[in-house]
Order: sequence, then C-alpha cells, then structure tokens
Amino acid sequence: MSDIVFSYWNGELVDNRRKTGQKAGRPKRLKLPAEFKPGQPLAAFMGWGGLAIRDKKVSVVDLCRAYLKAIQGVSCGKCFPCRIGTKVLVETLERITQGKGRMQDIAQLQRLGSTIVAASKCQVGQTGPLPLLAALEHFRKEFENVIQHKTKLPRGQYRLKLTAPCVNACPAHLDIPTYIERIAEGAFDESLRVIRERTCLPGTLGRVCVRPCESNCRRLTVDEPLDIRHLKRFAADYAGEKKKKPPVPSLREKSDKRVAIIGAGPAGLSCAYYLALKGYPATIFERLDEPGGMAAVGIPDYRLPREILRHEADGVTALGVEIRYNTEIGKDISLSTLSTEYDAIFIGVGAQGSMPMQVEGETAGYSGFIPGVQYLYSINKGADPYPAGKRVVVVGGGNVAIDCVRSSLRIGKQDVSLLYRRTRAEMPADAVEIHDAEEEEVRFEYLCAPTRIIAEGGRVQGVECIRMELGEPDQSGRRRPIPVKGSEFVVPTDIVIPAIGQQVDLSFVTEQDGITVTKRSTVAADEETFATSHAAIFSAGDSVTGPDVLVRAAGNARLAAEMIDCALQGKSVEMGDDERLERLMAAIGVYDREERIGIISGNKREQLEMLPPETRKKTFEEAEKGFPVDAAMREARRCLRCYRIGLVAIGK
Amino acid sequence: MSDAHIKYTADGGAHIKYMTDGGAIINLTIDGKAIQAHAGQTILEAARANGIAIPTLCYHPRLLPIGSCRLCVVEIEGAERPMTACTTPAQEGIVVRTQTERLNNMRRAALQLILTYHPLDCPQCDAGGACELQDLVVAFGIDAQPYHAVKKSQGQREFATPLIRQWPDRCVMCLRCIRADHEIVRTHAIDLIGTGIETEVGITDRDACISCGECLQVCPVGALTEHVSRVKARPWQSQQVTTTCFYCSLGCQMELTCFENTIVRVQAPAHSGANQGSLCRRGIFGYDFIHHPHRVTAPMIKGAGSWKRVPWSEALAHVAAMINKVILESGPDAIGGLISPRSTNEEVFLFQRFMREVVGTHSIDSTGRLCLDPYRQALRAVVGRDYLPPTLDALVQSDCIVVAGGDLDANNNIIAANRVREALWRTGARLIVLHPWRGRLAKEADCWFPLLPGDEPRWALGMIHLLLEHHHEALAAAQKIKGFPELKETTREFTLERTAKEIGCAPDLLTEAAKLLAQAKRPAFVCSPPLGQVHAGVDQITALANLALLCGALTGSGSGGFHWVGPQSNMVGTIEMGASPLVLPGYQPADTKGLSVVEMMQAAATGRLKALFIVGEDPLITLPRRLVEKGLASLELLVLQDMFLSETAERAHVFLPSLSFAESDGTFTNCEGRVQRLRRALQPPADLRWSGEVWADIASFMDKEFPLTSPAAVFAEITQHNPLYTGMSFEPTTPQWRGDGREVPLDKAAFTAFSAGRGEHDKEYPFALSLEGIFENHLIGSAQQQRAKGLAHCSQSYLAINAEEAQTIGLVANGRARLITPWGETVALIKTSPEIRRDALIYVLSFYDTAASQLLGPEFNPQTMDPAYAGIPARVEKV
Repeated sequence: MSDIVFSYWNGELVDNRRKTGQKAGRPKRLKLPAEFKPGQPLAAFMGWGGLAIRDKKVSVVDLCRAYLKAIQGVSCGKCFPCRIGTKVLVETLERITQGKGRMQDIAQLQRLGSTIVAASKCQVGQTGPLPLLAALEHFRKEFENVIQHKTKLPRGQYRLKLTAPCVNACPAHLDIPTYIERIAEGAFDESLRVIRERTCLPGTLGRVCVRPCESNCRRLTVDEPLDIRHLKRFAADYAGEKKKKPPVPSLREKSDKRVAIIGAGPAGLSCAYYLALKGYPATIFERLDEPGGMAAVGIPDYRLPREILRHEADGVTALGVEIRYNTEIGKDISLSTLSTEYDAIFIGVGAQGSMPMQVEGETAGYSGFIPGVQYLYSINKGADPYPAGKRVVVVGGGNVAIDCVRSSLRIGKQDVSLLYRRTRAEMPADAVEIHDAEEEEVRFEYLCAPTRIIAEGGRVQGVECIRMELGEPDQSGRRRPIPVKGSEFVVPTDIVIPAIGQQVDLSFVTEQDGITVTKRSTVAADEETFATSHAAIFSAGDSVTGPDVLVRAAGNARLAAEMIDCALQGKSVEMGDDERLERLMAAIGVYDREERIGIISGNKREQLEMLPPETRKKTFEEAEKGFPVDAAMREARRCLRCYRIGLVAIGK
Repeated sequence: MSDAHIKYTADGGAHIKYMTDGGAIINLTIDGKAIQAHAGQTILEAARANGIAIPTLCYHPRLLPIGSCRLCVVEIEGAERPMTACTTPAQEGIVVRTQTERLNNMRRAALQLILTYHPLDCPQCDAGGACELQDLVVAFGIDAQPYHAVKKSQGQREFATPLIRQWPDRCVMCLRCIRADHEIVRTHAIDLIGTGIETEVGITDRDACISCGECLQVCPVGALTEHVSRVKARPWQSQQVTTTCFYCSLGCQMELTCFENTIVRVQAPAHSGANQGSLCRRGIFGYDFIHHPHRVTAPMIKGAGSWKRVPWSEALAHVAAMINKVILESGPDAIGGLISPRSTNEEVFLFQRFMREVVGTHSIDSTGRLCLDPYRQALRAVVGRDYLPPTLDALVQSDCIVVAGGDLDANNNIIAANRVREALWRTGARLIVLHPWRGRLAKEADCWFPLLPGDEPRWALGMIHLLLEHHHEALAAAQKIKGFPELKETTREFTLERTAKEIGCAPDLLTEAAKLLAQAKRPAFVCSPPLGQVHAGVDQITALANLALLCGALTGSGSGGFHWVGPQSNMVGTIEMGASPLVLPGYQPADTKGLSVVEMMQAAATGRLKALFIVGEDPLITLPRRLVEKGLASLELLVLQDMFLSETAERAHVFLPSLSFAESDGTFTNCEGRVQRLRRALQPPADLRWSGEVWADIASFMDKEFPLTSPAAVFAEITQHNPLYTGMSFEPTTPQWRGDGREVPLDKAAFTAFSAGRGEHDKEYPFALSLEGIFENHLIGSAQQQRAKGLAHCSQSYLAINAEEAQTIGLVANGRARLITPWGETVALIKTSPEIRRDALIYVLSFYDTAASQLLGPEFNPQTMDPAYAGIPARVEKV
C-alpha cells in the first residue's frame, strides 16, 4: 500500500522514484497518514529527521525553501550559525526558486548547512538544515534543473508545527523548553506566564503530574531527564512566595453567552479559565465545599496542600468565573434546567466512585469497610474516618492505594498494609510514591487478593485473601495474576479499604438530557471535539476517559474550551490545526530513544530536599520541598532545547 | 555559617562563584595539561583559571553563561559534538581539547557569519580599538567572508535612556546587555524581540530603565554608546584613571577616561570595590557637572551685595583677619566649622585640626554625622564596641535579608540593592522589606511590611516575641547574651495580635517573617537613612539591632551583619577623621564638647556664634530651612568653600573655589570600612588649589603654625594619630579596610533597652512624610544653574502617594501638589501607586532640590542632634 515516492528519515532511505508499484519499498521509521485532515491529502513532509514525498508534483526545492524559512522564523536569534546561517540559506533558496539561482549555490548550501548543523546551540539549528542536506544529496538533479532553466517555482501550500519531545508527550502541550529556559535565565515570572498559557494549574501539576514529558526528555538518553515537573512547581511557588498574584492575561471582550461547568476539578477549572480568556466567565457548579475535585478529594495534603488548589482556583475566579459550591447537579439543580438557562454546558466531573472488588461482604455495610476515595476525602477534611480502627488493609496498586496507606500512617494508624495481586514491578502507582511509602514502613503484600471480608457484629475483623501467581500477559501487557488454589489466609484488620479503581458517577444524567453514556459509565464525547450527542454540551476529563491522569483532564478541557467557543460563535466545531499537527507529530514520533546525541553525560539532575521518613509519616506537611532558586536554575540549564519543526505539504 | 566558601581574590575582594563554592576538587585534562577544578566550575572557568585561553564573545564573568556565540566550543573525548566550554561543567577525568582544526573552522565560521551582517564603520565607531569583535577577527586572521546577505541599515537610535545610543547593525547578539539588565539590576527594560534574523535587542519597558548603564558597560562592541560626552577618543589617545566615586557611601571603584583634560567616559573596573563592575546612573553618567561653565574658578569676596573676584592672597588674608577678629572679640567658640562628607579623609582630618588647633574650638560637624550617628550609637550599645559590618560581598551569601529605612533603588543606592538581588535569586535568600511603599526591591520580597516611619521598634518587638515563643530552639546561643531576660520580659506583651494591630499588617505575614528569620543560618540587615532620623532615631535602630543580635546576624565570623548605606561618599570617614563635636579622630573622646551643626545654627541665631566656615556643605537645603536662614543671616563671617555658588553661597561673605573629586588626591572610607583612593585624573582649572594649602595659608595669615603638606603626607599622619587607620597605605596594592570592629564577641554584646513609642497623628496632618535622598546635593551645583546633561537626567524629585488617596484629594499622577507640614510647604511632582500605605507620603529627593528643607521641624533627637527627616506630620492639597 506504500504510496511513498521517496523517504529519507533518520538515516533510512526508501527511494521508489524509479521503481514500479509492486517493488515499492515502505519506510519503517516514518509512517505518514494519508491525509492531514479530511479532504487535505498529505503530499509531503519535511522535518528534523529528513523528508518524505508522496505526491510527485511536490517541488522539493520549494519544500526546502519553505522549511528553512520556517526554521528562520522560529530561530531564537541568539546563536549566529542559526540566526544568520539559516537566513543566508533562505535568501539563497528564495533566489533559486525565483529562477535566479547559480550553480555554485548548491555547494554553498551544502557547506553552510553542514556548518549550521555542527555549530548551532540547540536543536533548531542542529536539525534545521538536515532535510536540506538530504534533499541536496538525493534530489540534486531537481535543484540543478531549477537553476539551469531559471524556473520560477510556484509556492506550495504548507502547514508548520513547532514542538519538542516533551511538549508532544504532554497532554496539555505546555511549551516546556521555553518555560525552562526562562527559569535558567532567572526570569521566573515570565516562565510562569508561559506555563499559564497552557494550564491554570501550575502548582498542582508541578507537584502531582505523572509527567509523561520526563520519559520523553532527550536528556534521558544522555544521563537523566530534566525534573520538568518540579521546575514548573518552582515557577509557581516562587510567585507565591513573593506574594505575586497570577498575572491576568488580556481577555477577549465579554460575551453575553452563558456557560455552565459541572465540577470544579482540574477539567472544570481549566475549561473555565480558558473560556474566561475568550470572554465567557462561566459558572462552575461544585458538589463539595471546595475546589479541586479529585485533586482535592483524592490527593492527600502531604503531596498537594489544599492552599495550592485554592490559590489556583482564585486565579480562575479572578477572571470573573463564579464557583457555586455545595451545589450538586441532579439534586440541587437538574441538568435540564441548566440546559435551558445556559448556552453551553461543560461536564467535567471526576471519577469519584469506587470500583467494587466483587468479594463477599463488601456490600454488607460493615463498619470499617471504607472505599479509598471516601477514606481520603474524609481525612482531607480533617477527620479520622474510623477512629475505632487501628489496623488498616488497603487493597490496590495505584496511586490512590498508596495515598490511602500513607495517609493512614499520618492519622496515627499503627499497622498499615497494602495488598496487591501482582508484584511491585507491575504496580501502576508512581515508582517514587511506592519508594516513599516503603521508606515510611508500610507493609506491602504482593501476589495476593481479597476473597472475603470477615466481620463480627457488623464490624470488620479481617480480610480473607488468596495467594496469586503470574500467568501470561493480559491486554494491558502485564502478566495476569492467577489464584493459587487452597492458599487462602486471613489478614486480621479493623479497616479494609478497597482502592482498585474509580468510576464516574453519571447518575445526574437522565435519558431526556440527550447525552449518550457509555457502558463504562462515561460520557460519550468526540475525541477531537469533545462534543457530546447534545449539541450544546461538551465534556472532557475523567467523565469521558474514566479515571485518568490530571494533566490529560486539564489539557483536554482547554481544548474543549476552544470548541465551546467555536460552537458559541456559530463556527464549525472541529479540531484546530495546531492540535491536529501535534497529533501528527506524535504519530511520526518526536523522540527517538536510539538517537546518538553526541555530548558527554554526567550532568545529573538536581535532587529535591525531602522530609525524613520518620518526620514526614507523622505529618500532613508537604513531604517534598521545592527547588531553591539556585538548584532550579542549575536544573534548568540542563535542558537541551530539543525543538522539532515539522512542515506538511498539502496536496490538491 | 562560615566564610570558608567565599574566596578572596588577589585584589582582596570576595569574588563569589555561585556554581563552584565548596565544590570538591576534580581532576581533568585540557590540551594535554592535567589541571584541577572545583566541582561545578565550567570547563571555561577551569581553563582560564589555569591560563588556558579559549575565545569567547557572549561570555561575561558577571553573567550567567548562555553558550550562544559558539566560539568557546571544545572537544571532549567521548562526545561526538563539540560542546561549549562556558556552559559545560567540568567533570572528573574528562579530556578536553581547545585547539583543533575542526574547532578552528567552527570558530572561523561563526565569526564569518557575524561579519556577514556587521557594518564596516569601525573608523567612526566609538568602540574602534576597544572592540572584542575586532580583536577576534584579528586573532583569527579573517580577511574575507564568504557569505552574502541583504543588509538593512538601521543607523542609530535612542536606547531605553537618552544617555545611551543604540546601533542595532553593530550588535553581535551576545545578549550581555539584556542579561545585565535582567540578572544584575533586574529591571527588564530591554529584551530580545523577534525571531531569526529579525531578532534584536529591543526596549520593552522604557519606564523601567533606571539609566544605570549596566548594559553599556558589558557591550563588547559599539552597539551601545555613551551619549553624555560629546568628545570621544581612541583608547591610545586617552588616559584611564581609577578612582572612587564621590556620590554615595558605597565607594564604587570607577575608571575615568580622560582626553584633553576632560572626562569622556566612566566605567567600572571588573572585580573591584563594593561595586564589582557596576555603577549607578550618577556614577556612570553624572560626571559632566565638573566641566560646567558655572563652576567658580577664583576666590571671591562679597561687597555691596555682589561678588568680586580677588587674588587668593587677598581672600585668605581677609578670612584670616576676620577669624582673628572674632576670636579676639568673642573667643574661639564663637566660630564653627562644617565640612561635607564628600570631602576626603585628608581634607577632613586637616580641617578638624584647623578648627581645633588653629581656631581652637571643637565646634566642627558634618551632615555625614547626622546620617551615621544614630546607627553608630545604636550598634555601639548593642555589640558593646564600635561596629563595622561585614563586606557587601558577604551579604550575597546571606540566606535572609531584612531591608529597612530608605528605598535603596529610589535613592540611587542601586549597587546595594543589586547585591541584595544577587543574594535573592542566585542563592535563594529570603527577603523582608520594611518600607511604606512597595518599591522594586519590596516587590521581590517574601514579606513586605508597609510600616510608617517610627513603627520599626514595635515591629521588632513583635518579631522578637514570635521568635522567642515559637522558635526558641533556633536561638539557643542568644539566650546567654546579656540582657536576654529583660528582652524576654519587654517583648512578652507584644503578642502577634497586638503587634499586627498596632503596625497595621496581617498576622500571617509576621508569622512568616519570624519563620524566615528563625530558619536563616546567615541573616543580614541592610538599612539606610531616613531610618534613625526620627525623633527616637537611635531607638529605632537599637530595636532592629536587638533583633539582629537575637537571630545571629551580628555575632560570629560568618554573620550576615547589620549594614548601613548612606548618601555620601565619605560619611564614615568624615566622622572617623573627627568632623564631630563629640569625638576626636578614631572616635577618641574629646575633653570638651563642641557645638553640633544644629546647635551652631541656634547659637548663630542668638548671636553666640559669629563665624562659620563651611566646606562643601549646603545647610540651607539639608537642614531645617528657617533655622538655618536665621542662623546664617546673623553671622558676621560666613566662609564657603565649594565648586559652585550653592544656595548657601547667597548668604556667604567669602567664597573659596574647590576642586572636584576628579581633580583630587586622597582617600574615602566607604560604608564597609574600605579605605579607597581618589586619584587626580584631571588638572584643576588654573589657579585652583587644594583645600589643605588653602587652610595652611589662612593659618599662616593668622600667624599660626599649620604645616603645608600633601594628601599622601596627611594620610601618613592619619595612620599615626587615628588608631583605626594604623598601618594603612596611601597606595595599597590590595583593598584595605579600616581596622577593628568586625569581630563581635558574644560577651560584649547586650540586648539594649529602647523605647517603642510613636506620636499620634494630628488630624490636620493625616500623613506621615519621609524625606529620602535629601543629602545628595553637595558639591554639584545649585538649583539655579542650567544642568549638565548627565546629571540632569538623574534629577527629578517626586512625592509618592497612595493612588486612592491621591484620587480622593483630587491629584493626578505626574501632576503637581502642595505638600504642607506644620513648618512649611512646597509644590511637588506627584507619583501615585496603589502599593503605598494610605497614610504615608514619601518625598524622594534628587539633586538640586531646595524646597524640602522648609518642611523640616525644629525638634531634634537629643542623642544625635538629628532633625527628623521621617515621620513628619504632613498633608497634601491640590495646587
């Protein structure tokens, strides 16, 4: 099915120009979708690793001109090879495409291109001329023809995308290299401003984000990835320490359209913030009496202090957004009422219900049987959920399970265990969290699962478990746990906390609302536009994905705000080119773990200061200290600034 | 808590390497040479420290490295790509090559690319002959460049300040100017604008520019040029003379470039003085008053209301005769002397000898004493001896800094403010600022307390209470200090709630500040007038000094210290040389006490003082005007020695012209106790004479013995007679500090009682007014003269008021308002800010302002004889 005429990508050459259809080779390293978007065929692609041509009508010479012009446009202008070198390349290529080229230009382009690659400071200049050099090698004839015949080339139609491995991996696509560079320069306020262009939750994400960016950090190939998460926290905290209010960006003129948002969690707050920037100060309806949603309910204070969430919510309400606390949709006000009163609705509820363990006794209503999220919420509100109990067993291997055991220690529970049916290696919880819990002397019981809750007089007395062994990998790629017959044993305990997963409670959605709900009890929403089956209702975050990471909820909610804006303006609701290109880049693969980066390793990441286990297990005070100024700046200087520029040629 | 990681460089100044301190020694090889470096040092730093040259253009030792110019690339074994030496940390065992064919080609290519756009206007470029790009092109033997590009010529334009021109075509994008602006002064007036070839250094916030010239100083080429002097000269045509700035007490080291006996440029030598390469706008641009046409170049005697130029002999004989007459008729105590704290140590020493030995009176004083004495007395009581703070270099190592008194930025003590900033963001120090206005520094503070002048003692009491209550374990050492039980008792009632209520701030803020101070291992205090210049000024400083002692800022060798930054260059030296009615040189006690300047004015008004000899002071504009007017009007003889006809000159009988700092030899003692040289850079106008000679001649006309000596000889005499200056050299090869005082033994220190009272506001005068910067005018001319360009730009006084209050009164920003105190009134330019305490007014004075002295009241602090310059009852009205 390969319709690729030519491809050169990261050293892999596929040249079908002189081959017939049957023998045509297929590039393995570069997989290009057929269309950029419906009706717009993807005729060619040029990027940091080379180029690929699908449509023979594409002029490689003009593609090179457009690509170098794009490089010149994003060059930060600081180092000369990139700043001036690419300018000279562009001027030369402009001249050639206008039919004024000279033969010696080719050698000059090659020489200068190589110089820029070798001498530039960051990846913009280090990769910018690479596709040109490849084109000069493999399409030399085409260049010569244009020069010889003084051909005036028509300009192609192109789409440009600037991204980076870290940016691309981040569901919210924060401009990570820029905000890190600002920290390295000491421009901390400016760094925060850059962060806030993409998220209004810098202090929250700076503490609890699962940081997909860090596993896509090119520095990981050299020595250790940057501590991107804590650099973000640093920028947020610095402003907080200096009592600086979040900067209020310029707002679009206020619209008379009204938007309601259900849930003041990461999704709801993010959607509200970006809607407010666009002129819609929305009203948020929140069931609880404080902001943060799952981040407030499910994340204990020692990881995410309450004030941080409140401060971030303040940054949202400062733009005119109203949060109506203690207002539950479906109880205090119905969704249909909202539909009539508001022009658009965003559903951003979290996955706050617990998944059942499907074991005997869990629905019996025993004292001491408390679902994980409920347990954490009660602790977060300052109460011991079950003061009579001293021994705790938590079932599950995710972050909520870890939060439950660590919080149990902090409210003075003596004997705290965690049961997980696989081994430590398969645990979905953050490795750092597991390590910290081990340091705090939580007892981990691997390869066992509960089978029955044992109670006496309506009170939990213990949990019967069965040993497991690992079998073949399942759909998730992890080895499936299989019960070992006859291996049942009893763990005595006063409290059993199931924390094996959460689900979304959509009981407030009724059939008449016109919203399709999936079998998994999530809102059925378009993954590109976040539109539900009801034209004026959008949804993103856990309510659509089921329990998922905070940064995806925040990122998607920002995109949903854009879609709501389109809908309210009567424009067609479709995914923006920027996000489309970002996904295209992801498909192409922005981070190549095999790349030889060519610099010495050994510049290790800065270590955060942490409260010692003995102290921290007794307190809800934040366990991790943020970076001090000097450490943050040193850490920021480790960034390799791996910007990637991709150029898509659109066919006719 | 130790000084161990501050390395003292060859010139004795503590030169701090932020990335390198305390780093373990590592071994590496550069160009086949085995060398050692500190962990954290970059390859470039390690190479240069070992005499290995690597070319650079964007690198500047005072700025963070950015690796942009690509000239410092080196090859490291194991790395395929060359790496920039300026940004790559040195590592154990690496093998580095700095000179290879490949590197040479890369460096040449980078330079050739720069030259593609660089104009060839070297012959008319100010930097010609002193240009780093020229040097590099010569060094690499580049005689042609292969690339061609379309150039747009942009010519020159005004930069963020009219005192600097920008030539964008010449810019080599080293970003040093932007980095200096962002890293040293943190004004963010300029930034990089655009992308690709369109990128340029642009002005992003013209109002933020403070004309400090930091950008100009670091420009390696002629992209930024000085726009004060019309005359320019090539380096080989001019002379460079290193001297000490004569403006404020920081004593910045500066290099004057002189051509044909004119200053054409001022720069700061690197790694020298408290300024370490920086200057403020006065230092770098405020030199052109020296060449002002109004400068007086001959002695004058006033007859029938007008000045008459006379020969020196006639003027001095007249002065001598008049002094003799007064002594004969009324005794020597009918004569007083007043000398400017911008005079050299040698001049002050000679003048006090003249007054004490030739005239025979202890009535000698200086406004420098008014600025320093409250601090000196308070610290003396608390530490038990004369106190000398640690250097400002050490301040950078502090982890928590309390700034109180004047606004360091508004008062042009930029260098001190910059050192605080350096500590803030390079080492993460925390900052507590006490000032009614949230100025530039306060905006970077963790805790800003908008206190009214006079509330500092209660703030300190509240802080001490909190520290003792919640953080006593951190203060164990202080509990052994004398007076601790009394301190504890005194502060018992100053609970969080009470303090917060009385000083009008949030309780949380006090709690946070106490926590910051308790956690600090190296707290420091940086204070400046008008702190101490209220009615209970000594108490104000004593209160803060008690707090400093409690949290360990005063004792121990690594302590952050209690710094005092004043408005005049030789504030410290002037008092130490004996320009005080209370003490002799070196603070040696005098057997009888003379009159302070305030008492002299009072005595003149009542006829007890008949004659006054003023050197460089202008009391009409720095002391309560009505008092001074009355005093001066009653004098039989007023001799004034100055460069210009100042306000006070109108009342004088004899005028003696004096030398400018650039024409003088001598020494200043700065606020750190650094004793630094003034060097003669210019030949004085014909017939102008050094003050020492003038006084010697007067003495001889009076038939008194007074040896005619040179500044060097006087300095030698000082080292003999002033115990603080024993063993010092007039031509030191390394920095020298006046001795004594830095070690504060715990057993001598004592918590000292102070009063915390403050008067209530009078309804008629609802504001508390502070005058900041009132002592800055000496020796630069009068309000009437047309201003020299450089100084003119630095001189705009304004009254800062809360924006809402201004609105209520009906005032508009940048408009004018009438400022009224019980003693006088003036019209002032208004600046408004929402971040000024509502009942506070700050009158920031700059050069040439005369009217402010009318606002001062006649009451004085009996301990220091200081008029109140802060906490003055005031009101504001529409004009």
